Amino acid sequence: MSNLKEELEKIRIPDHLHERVKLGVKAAKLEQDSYEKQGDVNRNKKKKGRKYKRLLIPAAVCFLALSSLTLTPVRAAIQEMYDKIFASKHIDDTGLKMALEEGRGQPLNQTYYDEKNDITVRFQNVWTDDKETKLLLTFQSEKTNLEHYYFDNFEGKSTVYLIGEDGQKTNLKHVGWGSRHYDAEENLVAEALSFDSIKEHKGQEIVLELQNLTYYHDQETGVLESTWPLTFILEESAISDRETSEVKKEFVFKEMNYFIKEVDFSDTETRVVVVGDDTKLLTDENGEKYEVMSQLEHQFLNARKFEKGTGYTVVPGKPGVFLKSAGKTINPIFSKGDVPSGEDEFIMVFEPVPDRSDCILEIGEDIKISLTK
Amino acid sequence: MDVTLVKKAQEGDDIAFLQLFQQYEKDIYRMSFVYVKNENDALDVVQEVAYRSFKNIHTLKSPQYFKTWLIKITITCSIDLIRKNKKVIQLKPEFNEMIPINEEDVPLSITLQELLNELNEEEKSMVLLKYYEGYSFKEIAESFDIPLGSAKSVLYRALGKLRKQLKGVDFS
Repeated sequence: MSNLKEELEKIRIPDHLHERVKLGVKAAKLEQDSYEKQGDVNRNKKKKGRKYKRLLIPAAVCFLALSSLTLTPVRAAIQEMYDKIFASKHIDDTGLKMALEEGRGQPLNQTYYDEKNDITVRFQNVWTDDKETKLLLTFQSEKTNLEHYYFDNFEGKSTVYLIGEDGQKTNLKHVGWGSRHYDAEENLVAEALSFDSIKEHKGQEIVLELQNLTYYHDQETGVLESTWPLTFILEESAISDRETSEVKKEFVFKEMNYFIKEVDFSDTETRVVVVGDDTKLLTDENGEKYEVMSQLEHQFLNARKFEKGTGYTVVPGKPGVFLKSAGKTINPIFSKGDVPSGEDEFIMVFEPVPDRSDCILEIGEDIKISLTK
Repeated sequence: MDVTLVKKAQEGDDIAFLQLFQQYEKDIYRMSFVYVKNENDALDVVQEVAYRSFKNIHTLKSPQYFKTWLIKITITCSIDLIRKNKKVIQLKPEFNEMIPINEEDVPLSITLQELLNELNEEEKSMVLLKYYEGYSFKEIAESFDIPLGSAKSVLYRALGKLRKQLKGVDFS
C-alpha cells in the first residue's frame, strides 16, 4: 500500500476552505442569474434583436479582453457581485455609487480570514484624494452573527491605522460616518469606510490595519477584538484630484448672515464650506463648547429621511438645500454628516457635479447663488 | 455518488451543488496544494474549481463521473494558476512509450516534500490519480484522454525520479 494518502493528510486544511467554495459558487450563480435576466431582456426585445446583437458582440469582446488581462473569470464575477452591493440602494452614498459606475478606484480583491472570530473579510476597492480615503470592504461569517457588528471608526470602538514604508504607524481619523449594509440572508456586512487621505503614499507598499468591530444593540455598546491587515501598493488608479475654488459670496437666510468660503469638487462629492452668524461654537460660563444647529443646517436636513435598509436619502419635492449644475439637480449626500470642519464652519456635502464651471447653490425656493467666480 | 444531488445541481440548485462539492473539497484542496505549494494559491484554485464546475455542471453527461470531472478541473485550474504565476513548468515532456508498467499495486514510499519538489506537474497528476485517487491506468487513460502507454511511462518516470525501490513491479 502506498503512504501517499498519509503524506497528503499532512497538508493542513484551512478553516475557511468552505467559505472559498461558497464564494466560487456564488460568483457562478450570479453570472448565471445575470445571463437569465439578459435572456429575458432579449426575449422582450425580440423585435430589436439585430440591433441588440450588434451592440452585444463588441461588448462581449471587450469583456473577454478585460477579463483575461486583469482578472480570472471567477474574480471578475466576484468583483461584479461586490460592485453590485456597493452600487445598490442599501448604500446611502450616491457619490460613491457614481464613482463606482465610472470604474474609479483601485481594485484590491484581497481576502483575509480572521480565524479567531471566523470572519472572512474581503477588501474590494480603495481610492483617495487630498481630503479623504474610501475603502470598500465586506465581512461575512458562518458562526458569528454580524447583524449588530459595525466597523465604526466614527464614534465606535473601531480604528484604522496606516503603517507606511518607514514602519511608522498612524491613526487615520474618520471623515464622516461612512455607509453600512447588513445582508441577513448571507450574514454579510458591506461597509464603505471614510478616513484621512493616504494620497502622499502613492507608489508605496503600505498596510492598512483595521482594528476592532463595534457592537451596538439595545442601548449596549461592546467591542469585538479583531485585527484585519491589508497590504497593498497604492497605485495611480487609486488617486483622484480635488479641485478647490474660493467663492467668497454672502447671503442672508432667516435673518442670519452667511458667507460661502469655498467649494470643493471631487469624483465622489462636492463640498460647500460656509460660515455664518449661527455656525459658531457657543461657550458657556464654564468654558464648555457647544455646537448649535444653524438655520442653514435645519434647512439642509429638511429634505432628509431615514429608512432601515436604505439609510439616509432625499425626500422628493421637499424643500432643502441643493445644487444645480448643467441643468440637473444635485442632491445632498446625507450619509456624509459630521465631516470634520474648521471651527465655526458648516460643511454641506453634495453629489459630484457634471459641470464644475456651472454650479448654483439653491436654498429653499428663493435663494440661488452661483458658486463659480 | 448522490446522483439526485448532481441532477439538482444541474438544474441550478446551488445548495445541492455545495452539499455535493463539500464531500470532495478537502481532496481538491490537497491536490491543488501539491501543484501550487502554498495555501493562498491552493485556496484560489479551490474557489476557481467551485466556480467553473458549478457554471458548467450542465455539460456533465454522466453524473457518476462527477468526481472524476472535478479532479480534471482541479488539475486544469492548478496548472492555469502556475502558468499565470509564470513559474517554470514542463507541460509536454517526451514520453518513452516503450516502457511498460503493469497494473499491480505499486508500493510507493514518498514524502510530501518529495512530491512537491521533485516532480513536474504531469508527474504529480499521474501520482495523485494513481495513488491518491486510486484510478487504474485504463481509467486514467479513458477519463483524461491520455494514451495508456503515456500514462504508464509518466508514472514510471516519476517513480524513477523519486529513486525508490519498486519492489514487486514487473518490467517484462
